[in-house]
Amino acid sequence: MIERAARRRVLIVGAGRRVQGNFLPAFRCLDDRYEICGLHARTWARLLPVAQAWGVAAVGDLGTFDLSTVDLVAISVPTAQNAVVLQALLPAAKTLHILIDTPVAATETELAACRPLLAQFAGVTVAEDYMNFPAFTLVRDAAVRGLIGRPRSLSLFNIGYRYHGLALIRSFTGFGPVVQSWRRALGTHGTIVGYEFADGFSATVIGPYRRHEHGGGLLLEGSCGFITEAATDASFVSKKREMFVLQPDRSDGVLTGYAIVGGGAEVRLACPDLARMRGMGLADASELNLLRGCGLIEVIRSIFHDKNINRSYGYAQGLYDSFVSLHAARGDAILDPCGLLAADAPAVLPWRRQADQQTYLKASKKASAALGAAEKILVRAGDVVDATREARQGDHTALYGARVNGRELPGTVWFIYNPAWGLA
Amino acid sequence: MYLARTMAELTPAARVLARDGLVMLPDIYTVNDLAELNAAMNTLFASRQDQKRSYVRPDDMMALGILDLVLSPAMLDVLFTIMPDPVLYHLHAYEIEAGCSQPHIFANQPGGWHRDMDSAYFRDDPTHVSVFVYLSDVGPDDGVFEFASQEPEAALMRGAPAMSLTGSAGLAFAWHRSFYHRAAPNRGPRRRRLLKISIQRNEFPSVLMEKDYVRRMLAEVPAGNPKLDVLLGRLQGLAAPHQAASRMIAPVRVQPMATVDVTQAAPGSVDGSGAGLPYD
Repeated sequence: MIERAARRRVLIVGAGRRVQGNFLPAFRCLDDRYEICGLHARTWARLLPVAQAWGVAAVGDLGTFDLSTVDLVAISVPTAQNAVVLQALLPAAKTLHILIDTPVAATETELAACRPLLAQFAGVTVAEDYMNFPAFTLVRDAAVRGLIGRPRSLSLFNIGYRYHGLALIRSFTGFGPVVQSWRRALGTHGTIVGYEFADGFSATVIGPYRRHEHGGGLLLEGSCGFITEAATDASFVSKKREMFVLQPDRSDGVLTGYAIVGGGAEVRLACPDLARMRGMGLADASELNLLRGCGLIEVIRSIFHDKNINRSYGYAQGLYDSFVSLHAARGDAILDPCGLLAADAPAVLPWRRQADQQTYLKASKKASAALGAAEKILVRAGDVVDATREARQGDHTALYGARVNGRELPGTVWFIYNPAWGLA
Repeated sequence: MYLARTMAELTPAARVLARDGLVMLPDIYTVNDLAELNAAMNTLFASRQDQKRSYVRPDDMMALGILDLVLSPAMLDVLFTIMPDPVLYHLHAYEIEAGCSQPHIFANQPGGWHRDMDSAYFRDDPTHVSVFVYLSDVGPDDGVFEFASQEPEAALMRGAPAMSLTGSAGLAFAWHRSFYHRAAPNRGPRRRRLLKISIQRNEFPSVLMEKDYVRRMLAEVPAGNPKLDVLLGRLQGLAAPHQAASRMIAPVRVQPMATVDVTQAAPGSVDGSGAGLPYD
């Protein structure tokens, strides 16, 4: 088999820190597959120094640039500008593939502006690099090899930033929609957010986000073993379950890849692009930034060449993760934003709590003893309440559209006394 | 006498199969599904790794508790998108040995390229189709499946457009068995594992159903699921009702990005296993 050379032409829109730190280095690492045919930014003052530093043509006006010579436009601009850029590219939409940075839209107004435009392009890939970090790719690879049986749950300790965390979680489920979610506050600073999926997989994101620091990590539990980043977990687990440790490979202290070892097995992933990016003299050569570059390279490879997990991650998926994770972090009812995954996702995801002891649902926050019989509903330990929305009010939580053990309740708002309730 | 369908009678995916011979499929199995399938089969494959080609057959799948997952709703959607009355004639996962310099099959043909002559060929009607799902990552040196999209009855020439189906575990595609194809040598260090499901129109008798390892599986799968009854050949010899996929699979075409690199293949360079077609 003789492969034909197929070098694609890419135009990059944006010249900010993300473009300089990740997009340009990533495309340079893929220069056997891509030629950067231009770089565009809104002002010459911003554009010229970057174009000169990287030796690429500066494109001052998208309107006069011949887009018919371009295969791919990579967009990394503030979310409020995405619709403006997409509009300018629209005349060539039928032949153009778009690579657009995350989040694609930060507000529902931006979502409404971008979505119909994105639908008109030949293809759209979202630059969701996080789930493609080498460590996470290796964890998925190890799971797929069957090392731990069927994955049951994923916990992200301080490493699950909103949409990045949810995208990583959903990469295990074929990007299936969340079917249930819950949130619990950790004092005033952090939150725990849980997600559940139709295949029985569940995930927990423990905040706050601290990926830029050491510590935290992931724990993926399967039906017959688990993968952890903390070797000390061996002290707490049953001998019947195989434990595998995800660890960085370093040479002279420099990160070169990752390994998963345990149970007589060893799976490794080398990251040669790390060394290449280190040689580019990037302003931000931190490990985290270089890993972002590695993740982005995987995303870019999926556009025209490799068939990896990003093939399934289009703009609807990116928008879904942005908005569902946003709602989850706020503790609002989660809607499938604008029906992004309409066929698969429930419109409203129920919040769920389980009574730890006998207690009451109450029509107000008054003590139950002060309420009349019609103003309180007795529940027993183990009863489950779910609601379409919750709002924490001191030591109480207001529930909207509440049901007990699946039975609808009269009225619109009921209150629970938080200490009596745990997670279902 | 089989009455071939016209293009107008085909689903979009089947039309692509008729024209191009190969269609890419959306992910059929999630990461979690692939993990379950491989975890269940690992021990069995490990016990068979002394074999150049080792199999997990339908009765094994039944015993391992993964047959339902293999024939998941998503897989049934694929099969019933391709044809309305598919009957199985291959259902197995298999591994091929690592560190080889020759294709694992038809190594005596130029480059291992061949057509499957156990399958009938009608120009506009893909009656015999295989679905491959990689269960291990397959790079250029890992026994990658290669496919020539030219008119299958023409001689395969050096330089003919071809495609090399590299990809991560989970990559799925369907291909027309009458087109030229091959497995490139698995030069890599790992055994290549894939799931193979072949289907044919109900009017063609399936030899698979006569195998003991299938009979054992059939005995344990209860009748009554209309799609499974067709697929498992329970309506062979009868006019099977045509079933529509619950969710029609949209075809994704793949452009040849490579060329065949063998010395000229003679027009007759097809495998000999089709001597005496069972359907004519």
